Amino acid sequence: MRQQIARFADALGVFERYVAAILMIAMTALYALNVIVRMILPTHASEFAWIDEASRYMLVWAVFLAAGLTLEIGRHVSVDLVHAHLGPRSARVLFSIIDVVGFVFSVGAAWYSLQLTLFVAGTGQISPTLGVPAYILYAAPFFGFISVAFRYLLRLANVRDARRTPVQAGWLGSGLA
Amino acid sequence: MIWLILGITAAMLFSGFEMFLVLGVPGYLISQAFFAGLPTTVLVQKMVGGINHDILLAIPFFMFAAEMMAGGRLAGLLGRSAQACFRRVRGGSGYAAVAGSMAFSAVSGSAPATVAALGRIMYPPLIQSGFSNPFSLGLIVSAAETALLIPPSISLIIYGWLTETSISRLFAAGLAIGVVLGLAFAVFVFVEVKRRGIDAVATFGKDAPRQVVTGTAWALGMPVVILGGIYSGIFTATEAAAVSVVYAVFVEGIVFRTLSLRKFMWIAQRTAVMTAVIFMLLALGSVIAYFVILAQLPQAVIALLHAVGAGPLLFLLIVNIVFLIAGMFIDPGTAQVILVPVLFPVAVSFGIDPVHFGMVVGLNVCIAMITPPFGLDIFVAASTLNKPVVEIIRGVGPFVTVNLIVLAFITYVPGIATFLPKLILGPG
Repeated sequence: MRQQIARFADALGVFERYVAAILMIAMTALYALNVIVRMILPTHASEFAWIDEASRYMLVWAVFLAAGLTLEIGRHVSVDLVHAHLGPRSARVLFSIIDVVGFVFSVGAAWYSLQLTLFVAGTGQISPTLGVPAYILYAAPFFGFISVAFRYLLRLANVRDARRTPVQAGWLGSGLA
Repeated sequence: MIWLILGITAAMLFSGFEMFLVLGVPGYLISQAFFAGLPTTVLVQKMVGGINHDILLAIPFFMFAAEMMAGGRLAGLLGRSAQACFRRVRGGSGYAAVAGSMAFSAVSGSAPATVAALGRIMYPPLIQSGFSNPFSLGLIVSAAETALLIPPSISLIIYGWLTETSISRLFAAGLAIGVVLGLAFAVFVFVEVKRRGIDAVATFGKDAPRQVVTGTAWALGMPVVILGGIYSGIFTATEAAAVSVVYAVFVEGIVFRTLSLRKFMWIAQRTAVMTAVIFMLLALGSVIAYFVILAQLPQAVIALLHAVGAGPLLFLLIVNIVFLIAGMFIDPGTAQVILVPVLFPVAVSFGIDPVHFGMVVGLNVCIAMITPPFGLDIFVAASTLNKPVVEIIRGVGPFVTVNLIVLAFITYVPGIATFLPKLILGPG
């Protein structure tokens, strides 16, 4: 069971980071394309007005796609100076409290995001220039917080915990920035 | 009730909860305690609205470009050419560390990235020419701060977004202040060279190979594209950021051939993670900022300051002290997201120029990067140079003093900050 969960986490992580990376590349390319079009074919620039909105939607999705993975690899900012001074027992207690609070918060945030997504979907609202349903935007935090909640569970169950075993991976490189 | 929430927040902060929880949990508690009539979905709306903005797109774009250059050949070439420039000067490795960091700052907007990219190149020559270990570590960590001021600067973009101040004006002012800060560090190096009687002329960079020269030329093309593009009005800061990525791909991928498709994908993935780190703070910070405005906190601060007869000078002193203390314990991004919405309206009410105030905040963010116990640069340097954190903290002390002197000048001589933007863009 633990192994299957770990394998699922791996697959989810690969999915999240590849899709987030493709969104990063796509929004950069689109934005640069926008500049080029305006310089070469200024009369057609208005036909590309959707790029701004599309890039912002991609940004929001990239952020929430990567949020859970970022937790799994221990990269979210935290002031963890006390952790080095704790005994193994008190560390376990504190870590568990953090994970439970994080899990409950994330589930709550996912729930409210779902409600907003369904509400906006119900209104049939369409985004101004891109012309896609506006609820797509709010589905991002829904996905993101579910993924974050899952990572808190992994830590709580001690399947994956970057605080105990720092993650080393080729794609992360050696830099910390 | 508010004290209970503040207590919970402090407890969460110091026991090492993820910072987005330290922002998010109190945000939720405040909404339940004081704004019970508010539908909770509004919080999600504010959160998404807080990051759904085209100015903010510049942040991942600039990080993307900087990651490619830091991981490719450009960072090393810039460091080596800085060393070559100062090779005939006594204690030249010290000046090279400052100049190299400033040059890389024109490519990168993040101080930790600058430490990571240049630390290992700059450190050994410093030790070889006779600088003490703490001084060398302090210099590397502090010189990287200029990345937060010299454009592209991520913290100035965040400030511009929070206060609706023009990014091009902030970038122009940041350029001036970044150079001032760099010069202050150079003076400090000069003093150290005299004091220690360092006469080692560098053993590095005896002949500047052509490769270094061309490499530097390619690197300096980046600020030309970014600043030239913005100030000639060809594109916005966000567009400049996207173009800088294309430029980075071109230089590292086609000119130097250091960028494989696989490496490119890895860098894009890393950029996504770095973006998530900053944007989760911005998203949940927006919820707090929303309540700050609803509760009319800035108005309360203004009333309080007027009641005690405080003027702009005292207010700026308070701002600096608050940021200094906050910067010791929380990361600079969070400090900005929480403090700027409260303090900026107060600054405006005192007639302080938004660009000037931005530079005061920007320099405070720099100081926050190097002040213990929680200075991000310190930890990055510890890990890239493989040195104990305590050793770096000892070295950073005198540099904090240099920073505070510069901060005093910037705070009380607004002209240093506003001169360049007015020169380039006219009076705002």
